[in-house]
Amino acid sequence: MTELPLTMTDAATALRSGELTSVDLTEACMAAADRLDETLGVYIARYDETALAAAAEADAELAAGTDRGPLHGIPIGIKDIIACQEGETTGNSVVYDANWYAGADAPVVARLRAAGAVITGKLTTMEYACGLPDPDKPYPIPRNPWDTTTWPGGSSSGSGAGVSAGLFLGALGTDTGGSVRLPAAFCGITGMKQTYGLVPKAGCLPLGVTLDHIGPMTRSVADAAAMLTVMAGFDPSDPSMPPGVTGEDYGAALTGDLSGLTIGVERANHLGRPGADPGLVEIFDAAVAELAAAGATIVEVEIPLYAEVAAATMLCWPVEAFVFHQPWLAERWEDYGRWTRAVIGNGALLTAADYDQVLKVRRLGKAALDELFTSVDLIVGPTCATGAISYDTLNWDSLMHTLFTPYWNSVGNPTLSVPMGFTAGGLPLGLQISGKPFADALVFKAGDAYQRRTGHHLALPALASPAVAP
Amino acid sequence: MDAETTVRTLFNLAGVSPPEAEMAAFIEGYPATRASLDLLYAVPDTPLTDGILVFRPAD
Repeated sequence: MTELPLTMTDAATALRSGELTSVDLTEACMAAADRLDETLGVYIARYDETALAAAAEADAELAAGTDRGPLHGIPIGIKDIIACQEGETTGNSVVYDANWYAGADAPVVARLRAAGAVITGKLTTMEYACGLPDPDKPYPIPRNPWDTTTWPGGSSSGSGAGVSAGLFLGALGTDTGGSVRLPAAFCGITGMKQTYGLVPKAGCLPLGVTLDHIGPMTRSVADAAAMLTVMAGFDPSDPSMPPGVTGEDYGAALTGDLSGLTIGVERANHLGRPGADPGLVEIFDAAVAELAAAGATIVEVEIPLYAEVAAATMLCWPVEAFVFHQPWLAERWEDYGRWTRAVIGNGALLTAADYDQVLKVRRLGKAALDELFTSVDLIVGPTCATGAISYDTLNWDSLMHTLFTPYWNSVGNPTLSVPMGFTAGGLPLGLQISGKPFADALVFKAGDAYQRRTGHHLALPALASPAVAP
Repeated sequence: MDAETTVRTLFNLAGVSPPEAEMAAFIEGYPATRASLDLLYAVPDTPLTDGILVFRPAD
């Protein structure tokens, strides 16, 4: 019995050295799912048969000298609002079109598959990426591997819990107001919301079309960089992408050295919130000290129009979601979950003038942020004010109270969440690192430098004892 | 126009009819939504040349 690697990067090395096969790795992930999924509620649908076939093909290709890169033979799960050829996309709803993208991959999934990834299945999400878990609906209730009485965050709930517990080594999530970064923070993993427009969104059920991002969720920054390298770049199916936009080899920027970079620390809008975890400030300060020790110059900053722009995000996406769902809401209101109805329904209550004011404030906020970024390279703050929320107290108000993520969707800048420590109760906390538009590589560089100096991202929840090869 | 009239009118115009219990919750929550919007209307304006929000590598 051989202990399996925790990261894609280490697994890729083991696959090439012959210590491990993709079939071994995929079977170990399936065994973890057999053991834990009933508790954690990660999967909507498992694709065991096709995953094992893909793994065997990956092994055969490597044996024949064909190497598709860092994702070759790596098990990856897909949030169930993104289309995969193996099965339907439900959005965790009973209200969906089974023919939508039937038998086809979203472009981003096709890119992962072409890079050799093994697609393991479709993962739990909040309904259409916005409702809260609803026991009245026929979908799993996702639970946090660090404490199963708590919520793993969302809306990419299965993606976060599954990476954390070792059911796959990476996952796709989506982020409209924080839905990659929040579960990443709550589950103690890494999640990236890259620059808006860098990854094609066709084949992904929309929430807020001007705010949506499909992002990688992984154990380490190096793994997220490897995924984004494959995912990024223009596709004509997504009109929100800048024409000709290209990605890059994001792993190439990971040196561990932050010399010459100026990092703005944002306390004014992130620390001191009532009800915040008592250890948050100390843990955040320790994280900033690590960035300084890696060579960065630290300065204090205050983001202008922070509250206004964060509010703009939370006002904007319900309108855009309402427009998408209106025909079904008109006919099948009560088939949606109660939380979904409550938040999307609010989108009907803004006038056209209100919506345009939201967009105008987003433009003003982005201009003000661009000005701030003339004096710093990166900005850091905590991802959330607390650790994972107990199911006993989970509601829309408790969720909004902890989030520091929505601001970054309105402005579109790349923003990464990495684990930065634990509450006194043993729940993970996240550090958020943001950069200028299309400075995604620099954001990864800082996150990777932090992870080279700390081990928080490699900590495993007790129920996910290290997986072993069969 | 009071919150109840506004909320009922906007849902009616949008072609959606929540049940009464949920309509009451929307009416109760509407002042908070309006307060968030008021925050945005209070942002000092500046001349803008871009009519839409764009993201380009040169930004």
